[in-house]
Amino acid sequence: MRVVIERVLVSVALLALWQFLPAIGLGDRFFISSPVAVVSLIWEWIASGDLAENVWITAQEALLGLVIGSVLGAVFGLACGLNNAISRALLPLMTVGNALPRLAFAPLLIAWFGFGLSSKVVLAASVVFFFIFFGVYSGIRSGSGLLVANARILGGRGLALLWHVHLPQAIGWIVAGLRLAVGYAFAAAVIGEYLGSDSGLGYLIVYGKEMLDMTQVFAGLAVVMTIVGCLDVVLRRVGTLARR
Amino acid sequence: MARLRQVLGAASPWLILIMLLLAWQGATDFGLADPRYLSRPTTVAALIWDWIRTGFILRHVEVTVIEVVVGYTAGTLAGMAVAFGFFFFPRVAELCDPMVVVLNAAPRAILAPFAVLLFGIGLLSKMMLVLLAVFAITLLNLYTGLKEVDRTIVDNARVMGANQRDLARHVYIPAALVWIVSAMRNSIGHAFTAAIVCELLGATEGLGWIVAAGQSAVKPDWIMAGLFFAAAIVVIVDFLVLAPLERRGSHWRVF
Repeated sequence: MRVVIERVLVSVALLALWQFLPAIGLGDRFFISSPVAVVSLIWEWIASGDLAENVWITAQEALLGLVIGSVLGAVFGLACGLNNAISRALLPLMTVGNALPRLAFAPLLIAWFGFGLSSKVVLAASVVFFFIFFGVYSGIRSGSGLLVANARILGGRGLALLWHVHLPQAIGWIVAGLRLAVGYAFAAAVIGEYLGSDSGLGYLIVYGKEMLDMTQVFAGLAVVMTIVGCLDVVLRRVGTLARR
Repeated sequence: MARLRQVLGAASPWLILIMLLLAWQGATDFGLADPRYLSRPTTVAALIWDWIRTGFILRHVEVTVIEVVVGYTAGTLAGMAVAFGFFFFPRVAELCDPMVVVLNAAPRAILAPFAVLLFGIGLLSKMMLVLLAVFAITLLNLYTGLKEVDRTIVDNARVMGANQRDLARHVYIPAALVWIVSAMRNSIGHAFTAAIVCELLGATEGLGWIVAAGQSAVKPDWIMAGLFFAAAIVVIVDFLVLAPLERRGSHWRVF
């Protein structure tokens, strides 16, 4: 309890520094804005309904990307995990694909899929795909071969084998991949919006940047980070539950 | 027969790549897809060759690499310093925990507009963003790693008369090396992503600038050729430099 109070005190002290430093001549409000201005802008967004509208757009992009990327990643991960020929053909491509700076591919996807929702969904899905692919693949491959062999001898086949043997062994990996994927799905949606959009949280941020309005940049980023942070806490809980 | 299978197996990733490229070329050649948006492999390859031949690309590769090298080095060093600081002064770590959580809340590349606005469209903003991204990854990796150093080894060293300094030198730093190398491997992709995303949002040179210029002039071949060079550098650094380093590092993973 004491630690919590101390942490709050440190955070409040830092916010106070940010608020009052420009008053004594250190730092320029134009560049560093102030916590009060940021909070009141966020409050304005909440009151006018702008926040809900733009959060909804970004959340849609991230969630659609998350679902599509997860399904494709799981399918390919299963195929590579269970079949050696497929894994030999695809794994090198996946390893290289995973190393690529995929968030930087946003302009290409906007050129292909337009300014709307779909380009961000594809970007988010392409990022999520690799997290889930490697989660499922490593989950299956790192499982005990002995267990699988025993289950086979006992007559385990197909879906039953997958459900009762492979999945329980892989679940920890999958949840870990999913946890990372959620943050990246949101980041992908936001970065996609930076590079071509007319709505969404990323649009609010990049608009602030174009207007040289640091308050708006901070407010937008604060909203994004709060959302991703809260989702991370929830998923961490789910992860500990799933491992039981 | 077995031999043929083996060769086919090894070649299959390349066959898939070639098939994808042929499909792309065919689709644009036979009017199934619009080369104005999709470009075509031959156009992109010609542009890549042209940039290499004229040396146009050199300057831009250099700029991006400089941003990454400076930011990456500074970020790794800063991350190491703070991780050791947190480890040896747990009180500080305890108090700073909320800040670490915020730092880790989302991929740092989303902070690009903030960096451009604060540090301008020059190289500095990219270096700072790379620094931040690498710093966060190094800090978290190394700090978690240090906390996992086996207590028995520490206690044994203490019994044999090691003081705090001996412990740091003979136990913690060797143990940390493995984590530092793995953090270096982890963060290189993030470093390039941060630099390029930041260049996309405001720059006058660099690989990200090429891509952005291609986007605003609706020249998909520019976008693709620019991304090709970005991808090539990342793959070269990751697989030819850092992966062998990591393999070597894990050999003497004694703790």
